[in-house]
Amino acid sequence: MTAHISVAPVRRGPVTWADRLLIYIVLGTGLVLLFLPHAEDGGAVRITGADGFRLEVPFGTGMTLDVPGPLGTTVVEVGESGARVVSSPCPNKLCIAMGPADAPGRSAVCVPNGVIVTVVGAEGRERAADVITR
Amino acid sequence: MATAGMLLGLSLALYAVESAIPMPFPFVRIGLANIAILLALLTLGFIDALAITVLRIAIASAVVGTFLGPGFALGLTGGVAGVLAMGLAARFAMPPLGVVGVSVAGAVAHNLGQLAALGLLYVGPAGALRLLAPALLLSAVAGAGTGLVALFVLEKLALSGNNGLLGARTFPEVGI
Repeated sequence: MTAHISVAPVRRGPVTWADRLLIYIVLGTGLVLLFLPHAEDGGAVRITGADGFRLEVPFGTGMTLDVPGPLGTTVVEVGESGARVVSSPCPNKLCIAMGPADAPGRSAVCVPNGVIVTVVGAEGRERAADVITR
Repeated sequence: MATAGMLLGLSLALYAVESAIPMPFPFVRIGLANIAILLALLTLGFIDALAITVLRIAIASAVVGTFLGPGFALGLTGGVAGVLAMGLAARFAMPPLGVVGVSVAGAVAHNLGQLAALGLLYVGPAGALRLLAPALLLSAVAGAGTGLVALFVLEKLALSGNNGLLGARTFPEVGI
């Protein structure tokens, strides 16, 4: 046996094809998981309506919901990262003008029709602070 | 027995060095101590490697002051998972798999075990899953690195004709 020690993987060297295969598998799995689009974050939207209507919808489902209320039906659209009110029978349409609820703790609310749309975290928490100033 | 003690000391020293290296992710380690564990596994056998692993974790945490503390369960779970995986890999997959592969298997199992304990005990599955991808990537690289070091040591031992450290196993890929 020669005295030359090579640490680099050579064709019939100490680092076998199975070694390399295992490394590639682990690296590949890690890379795939790294670029998976927030599959594990799992935020959700909680929609509360009049008469005890209550629904939790996770992000990414792309659903449009008709929420019943005393004035009529408020249409809420749940998207990839937020939810917004599309249409509502209230006079001022403030709920639509408020914009999307897209972060934990944010809400879109239709007071006249009794509809509250809130973003909750994966564990069902709501963020404690609404705004942080420095 | 003396060899086991020496390797235990080596694993402690390596762990001390590794603790001084800052890592972006907590609880995800390079596993330098695994070099000694791997050498123990390949030369002395699984029981010795397991004993060294447990003793190393117990002694290190006792000295640092975290014995039975929050990080202790993580280290123990990871360490035992790692040596178990390496033992299984060495026993059943060794002919196609080499020293480096066994080390990678150990590193992956080590980090996965730590993440599992972390998720079960402290942060829940969502928090632990967030660390899964970097843990896998790091363990692939770190496992390969430590495996290469262990391989290098074994080669050196083979060349110097030192039979004292080598058990009954032969390593044809290294030329022993």
